[in-house]
Amino acid sequence: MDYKNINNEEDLALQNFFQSYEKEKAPDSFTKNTMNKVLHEWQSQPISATTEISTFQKTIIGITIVLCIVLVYFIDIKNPHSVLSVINSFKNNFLSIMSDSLFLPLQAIIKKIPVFVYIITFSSAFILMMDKLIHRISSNYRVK
Amino acid sequence: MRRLIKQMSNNDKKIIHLVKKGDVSSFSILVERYQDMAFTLALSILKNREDAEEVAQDAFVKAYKNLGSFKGKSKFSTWFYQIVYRTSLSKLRVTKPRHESLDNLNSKQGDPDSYEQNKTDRLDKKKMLNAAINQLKEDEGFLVILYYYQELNIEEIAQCTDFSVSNIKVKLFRARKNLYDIMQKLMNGKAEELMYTQ
Repeated sequence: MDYKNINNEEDLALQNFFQSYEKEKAPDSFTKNTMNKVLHEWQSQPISATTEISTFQKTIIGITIVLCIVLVYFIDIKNPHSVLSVINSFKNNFLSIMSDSLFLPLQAIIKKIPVFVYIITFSSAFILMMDKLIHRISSNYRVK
Repeated sequence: MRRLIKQMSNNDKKIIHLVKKGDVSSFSILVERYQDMAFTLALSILKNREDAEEVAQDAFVKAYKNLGSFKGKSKFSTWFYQIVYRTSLSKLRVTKPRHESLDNLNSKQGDPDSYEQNKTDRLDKKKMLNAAINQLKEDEGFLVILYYYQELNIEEIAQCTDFSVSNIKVKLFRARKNLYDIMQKLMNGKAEELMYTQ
């Protein structure tokens, strides 16, 4: 028995009848009612936002965390003298690098600047950088 | 026709992309485009206009909810007709089919002579066909509409109904046979004769 083609005449008759077939017309209010249901469904869905962190941002975050760990490990933050001594050693190393006569005026200026100015400058720069980074990450989100 | 269907299919995918990105109002384009077919297919199973409208609307809501699972491998229409089919059958399980009896329809058509006078009337053929489809059992009307009117092939119909290709061949064979027999009864055995009248 060939299921695909029933008696050819019968099949032709049906094909012919379907040429005059017209699909049923949905009621006029159909689209409006359906879209109301769809919008109701859309409203009832919880909206969640996911942040998208780029590879560059991930790298910066990683470096920052590593730096923080290193600083905490090498410096006793609770002891101000320890912090000052580390900064002073950095300052002295920096000055020794710039021992060239060309940098003498700059050396004089650096020597005059107190250590706490460096601490405040670096801390502020670090906080500003982190603030900018976090702000950028928080504004780069996708609504689901 | 095939080219038009392909263009529509590509267009459907663009609309779906917009809806997935959050433009819910674009979904109304799909509703406008498929509402009549959804209603017709639901009606072919449920035999009741109110139930068919409700089912067609529910099918659209289900389609919207599950749009994320539509990967675009098949046509949107095929995927959507599957939802209409499943929703209609679920509805059918909880409600009894409410279609008119064959005797009623035969009496409405009048005697053979009066029908003979109007046999060239195209509208009559359409009414006859609708009445015959209405007499088909369960999903038989759904299958013949997809096969003859939507011109879907067996594989596409199998996708719409979750049946295997061989199952669809058997079911379609029976549906076409039944449809032809009903047409013969409605036309007092003149179906073949009338097929050449426009």
